[in-house]
Amino acid sequence: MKVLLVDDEADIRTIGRLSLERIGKLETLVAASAREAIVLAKADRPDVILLDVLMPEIDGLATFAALREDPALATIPVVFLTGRASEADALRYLAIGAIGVIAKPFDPMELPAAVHRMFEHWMLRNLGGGSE
Amino acid sequence: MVDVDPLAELAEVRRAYAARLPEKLAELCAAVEAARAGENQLIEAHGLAHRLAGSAGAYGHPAVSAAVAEIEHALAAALADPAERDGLIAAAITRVGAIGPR
Repeated sequence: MKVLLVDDEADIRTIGRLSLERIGKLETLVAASAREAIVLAKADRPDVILLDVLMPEIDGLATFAALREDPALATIPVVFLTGRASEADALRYLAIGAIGVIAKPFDPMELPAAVHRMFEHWMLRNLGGGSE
Repeated sequence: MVDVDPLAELAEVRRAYAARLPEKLAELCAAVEAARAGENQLIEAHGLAHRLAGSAGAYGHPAVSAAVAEIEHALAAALADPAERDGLIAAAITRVGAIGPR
């Protein structure tokens, strides 16, 4: 599985990559901004995008909207990564089409498994003939 | 090429982060004090607190993360309520001065 991690914070990109790539053994791409994320997603299509919500210039929600408007990227599942994971926010993110929400700070030992679970659940629901 | 144990890598990045944490907290302290000057500085301080709250927990400093998250929330409230801004920033300054690496 190939994951694209998008976060403006360098420390989060460092530990997120270490977590996903070295601990979780997932192929991992990282981007520091929405623009970089879209370029990377087009060039090297990830299976799932892990997208920070609060970013300067173009935030995670606007990035999500841009991904959904691009036919080449619209079907890539997105997990939001947020420090503001109130239940209402999480439900809102799921309602607009995210496949999951992960709260920051995350545990680097648990992050890969959480991403896997969300991706596999989405695969079963959307590609495996699920009933939802 | 030697394949380094991922857990050893994690320990090493956490050690490096811990070494930089006092500097990060000093930077936050300065940013929160500067937030009294105006909305742009307040936005900057809020962003810094948000980033530090997220990273400190991931690097193994949950108490620092929680304390900085409280400051982040206070600064968000200050952004939302100009009438209460001075008091909220003053409280945030007191809080940030009390944080130390755990």
